[in-house]
Amino acid sequence: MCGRRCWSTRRTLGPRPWRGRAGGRLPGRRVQGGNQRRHNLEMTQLRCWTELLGAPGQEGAGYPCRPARGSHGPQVGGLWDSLSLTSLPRRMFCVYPSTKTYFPHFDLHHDSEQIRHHGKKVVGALGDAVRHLDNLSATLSELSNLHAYNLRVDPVNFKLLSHCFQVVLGVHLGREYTPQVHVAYDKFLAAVSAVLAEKYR
Amino acid sequence: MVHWTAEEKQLITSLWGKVNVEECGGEALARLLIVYPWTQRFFSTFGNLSSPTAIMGNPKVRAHGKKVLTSFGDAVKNLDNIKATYAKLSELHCNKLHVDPENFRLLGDILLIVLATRFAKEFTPACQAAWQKLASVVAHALAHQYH
Repeated sequence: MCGRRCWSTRRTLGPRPWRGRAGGRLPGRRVQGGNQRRHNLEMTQLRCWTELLGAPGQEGAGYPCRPARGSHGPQVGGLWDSLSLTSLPRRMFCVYPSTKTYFPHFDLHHDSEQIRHHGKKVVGALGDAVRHLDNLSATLSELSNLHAYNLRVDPVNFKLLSHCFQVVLGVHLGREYTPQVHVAYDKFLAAVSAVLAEKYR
Repeated sequence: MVHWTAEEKQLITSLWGKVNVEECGGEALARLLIVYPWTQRFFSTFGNLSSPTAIMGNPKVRAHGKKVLTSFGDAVKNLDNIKATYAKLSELHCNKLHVDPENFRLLGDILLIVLATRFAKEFTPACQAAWQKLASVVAHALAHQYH
């Protein structure tokens, strides 16, 4: 008899719970559907990969570790910090020049200190979001207010930033940015974008 | 007609020369079906699409991905006339296949992510900008005959 297998870990699962006439729920018992299991696995992968990437400012963290310029040891903060410090905002401004309209007060030259600082803030906020996946609205509430009432960034730009973030992940992780990790990050970034825009109207 | 700078043309054609069309095309289509599962609606005859592993190993997905990316190569070879190049394909996608043009944009973005994973540091911001422009021009050309 062909057993059921978990699609990502290939572990053999038990028999499917009896659905009965209730159409899916046994009285007094919650049955986890396939969507819930997939969601849980995606969130686990997101947390796992974000730990590997290392949270901003976390000493010794990061995979793969790259030596900082002029030093001989692993870069403090690892890949996460390198994402924020140079590549993400610069890439977004280059690929989507319209995003620069929100930064008329910035020095937008290559590797400007303002861009690096802002990149660190953005990626730091994303790091907070990953650590509070089950409560994004509360975690990002102040940022949501800021974007709705002060900055009023058109929400389409969140998609542009999300796409550049994923390209940067692809550049740094290569083949390890598997489809499974890809879908987890895509869902996560879409959820963050939705929270940032939820108070717009 | 879209204007391409000499640098954009060079970035596009030089990277295209290194692309393994079968592998990249297959992976791009597989990722589309995995990351945006609703796109599977167009591929009901493709067999087992029940999991990422099944999708990545599906020979029909691989073959069709190769076909799609080969067609993308037509745009690279005809940068100055992409709209005419895709006129018939646009009619096909509208009249026969009934594909929402949003899917062209999704696949374009996925293709860029696949290129990023393959080419890493070579996929510089300038390179991504040129390819992003190409992907959006191709998507626009494929949607052009819609009515």
